Amino acid sequence: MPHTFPPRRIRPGEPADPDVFNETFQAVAGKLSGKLGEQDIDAASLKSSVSVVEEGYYDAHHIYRASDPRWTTSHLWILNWETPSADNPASLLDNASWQAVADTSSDDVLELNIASSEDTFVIFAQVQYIGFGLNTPGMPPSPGDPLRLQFALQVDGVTMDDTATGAFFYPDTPPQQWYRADGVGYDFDFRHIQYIQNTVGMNNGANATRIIRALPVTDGTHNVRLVYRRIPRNNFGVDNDGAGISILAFNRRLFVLRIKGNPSYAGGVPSVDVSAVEDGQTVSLGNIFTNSLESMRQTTNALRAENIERSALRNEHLPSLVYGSDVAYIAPASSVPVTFVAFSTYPGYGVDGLGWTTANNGVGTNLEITNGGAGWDLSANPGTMIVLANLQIWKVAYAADESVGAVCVVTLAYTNSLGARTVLGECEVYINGHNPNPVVTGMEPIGDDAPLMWIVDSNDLSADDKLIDKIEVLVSRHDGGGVLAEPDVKTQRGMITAFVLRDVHT
Amino acid sequence: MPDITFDYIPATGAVLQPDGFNRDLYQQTSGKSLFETLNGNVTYPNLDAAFEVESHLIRPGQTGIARSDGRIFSADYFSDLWAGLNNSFYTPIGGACLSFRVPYDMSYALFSASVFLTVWRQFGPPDPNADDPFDTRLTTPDIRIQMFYGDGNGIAYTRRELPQTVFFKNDGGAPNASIGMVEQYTCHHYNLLHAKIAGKSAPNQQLTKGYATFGLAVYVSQNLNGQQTSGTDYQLNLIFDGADDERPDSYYKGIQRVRTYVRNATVMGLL
Repeated sequence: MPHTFPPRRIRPGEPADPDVFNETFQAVAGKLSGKLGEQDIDAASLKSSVSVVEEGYYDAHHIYRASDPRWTTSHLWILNWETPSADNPASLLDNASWQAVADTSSDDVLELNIASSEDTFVIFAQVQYIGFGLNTPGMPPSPGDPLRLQFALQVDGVTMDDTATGAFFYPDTPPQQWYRADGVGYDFDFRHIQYIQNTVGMNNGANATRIIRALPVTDGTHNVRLVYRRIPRNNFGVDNDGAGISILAFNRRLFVLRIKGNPSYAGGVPSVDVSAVEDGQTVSLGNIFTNSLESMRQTTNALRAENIERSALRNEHLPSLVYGSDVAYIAPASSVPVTFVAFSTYPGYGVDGLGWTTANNGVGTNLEITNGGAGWDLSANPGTMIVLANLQIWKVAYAADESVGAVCVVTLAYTNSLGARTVLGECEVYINGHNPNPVVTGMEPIGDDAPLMWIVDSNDLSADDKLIDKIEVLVSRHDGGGVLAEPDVKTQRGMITAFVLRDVHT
Repeated sequence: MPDITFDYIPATGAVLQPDGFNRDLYQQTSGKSLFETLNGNVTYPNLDAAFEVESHLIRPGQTGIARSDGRIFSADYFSDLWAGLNNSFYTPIGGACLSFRVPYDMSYALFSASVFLTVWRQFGPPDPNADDPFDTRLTTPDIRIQMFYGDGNGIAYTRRELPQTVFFKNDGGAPNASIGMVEQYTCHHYNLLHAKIAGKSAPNQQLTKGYATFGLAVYVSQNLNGQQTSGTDYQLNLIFDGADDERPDSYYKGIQRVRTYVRNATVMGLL
């Protein structure tokens, strides 16, 4: 609000005019009655000291399913996929329409219903899928069994086109290539390339994906959900022998950060008690001081939210609610073999053990964060912690076998201040090798990327775990091909970042 | 300013001092008058002990920003579009890039670039100069994607080298003779991230007020056109010499390609 000044000055010897007093009091009282604007409030003073009501800037909405595919000690693609109710996966049916990801056992949809004003949603979704070979449930899909699976975000029933993890239109066949070499025995022509038309969605047997999207929303309640579809072949035939490939989603998560934009006012009304001076009234200490100047002084010395104009505070006035943000990365120029302890394998879902190795750059730098060495004190800074990471999985392969059952497992783990490490089963990501060499037996690199995400409300952590020293990216391996040998894994570049939104709870 | 304390407090029965009254209303000395404090000098000590910033007091957009952009139509990036040039550059992927205004310095900023792509990076093309072209197989030039921030500043840790697409030996050799060229093996959805944080050093330094651009770029290294050689720059140009085949001698050019399908870029900046 523009500055205001006393409309009149009282002069010595001037007859006492009630209007002079009243106009002066009204100017002050008016400003105190919800008219204190951005210019009236010293920004630096507020920014350094003021408190923010819980979830004053943001609120968070979170749903997830921790789902164990039961890759334990068995040398199988999956142990008990035929009894999914035990581990709460979601069946991804063979249908080209967008469908909600829903628990197989209960049909509960992975969705959030969020009441908002004119806000901005930042939507994070992550899902791990695993497909199964035709008629061989213990084995992964063969290289010739493309899944053609896509995920996307849906808000209020509208699929957000640009979040689809594949081709939006199909068939959307890449331009074919042709190629010739000399020599009669090796003459070939690939103008008619089989299967190339199926490059419309994620295809390998086990992979994870993450989707992030910002969206401005209007007043109301909004439904946010993760959806999927399975694209038919170019010739609209079903997979291979007609049975179709069954696919399950395991770990899956949906998180919405609401950046509040224009919330409705739910506070009280300003109360400034000023007595008017009436004609004929005797000038007294009470009516020109105690009930006016002094009353307004006391109000000014204890300002409340209702004294301040709506939307008065700008970023200059406001403290950050971000705590403990950190980032680290590894960027080796070439792929790095993961050095596992000999004969170690995946210890199990969320189980710590020798089978895990911290992702690293091969020369001693681990993919981990420590908040600059200070760790995170979520007792003193309660709120929601968001951890995100990526790690390129360059190659997953057996030493001398081309089975696509070779699996790399990647997850997040945190170590508390007592030194106890928790491996986060709910964050586990599985990616299988799926690029067989056509000439010699063996697998070629896949160049995939493992997306990781962990969302946790500090209220859900134990007292010990609220003091976190380190968060790291772990790598393990699983013999899902029944080869009875441990796959080799090569990783390359990666990053991990984390931040805490104080006083925001899911 | 600290709490207001009046200079002038009238006493019962005393004559009102106009100057004192006026000074209680306004004077330049801080913390002594109502108008001086209320005109731009309200400070934290003036707030009620229970005061907390409530949502409705905040101007929209002042605690964070978030933007997204994306495209659904596919776009191809070839290796030989600029034949004869030394194409060692990254090309921004339309739809996976975003330019936006940063209204104030951000404590934390997250940049996300997503793309689904298929890659046609030929696997071990036969060496045309070898007796058996399949016995001597060549390595094809790199194909990569990488996030960038600003003009040309690639973020090394977001670089993803793309694998070679399987190349099929068509004479029935094991193990996948019936499959052909299986680009489907190299379908990828990437969701790459970059973070900028107050107090960090490059490339993660704070996102500050102004304008910013970031996105995803693709690198498909050059394949010079129309030259016959087994050198690594030209390896995909194979001669069909006609001598061993009934078709005439001619050059065939193998190109490398990335097809980007649905893609998206999102930024989130928090105060």
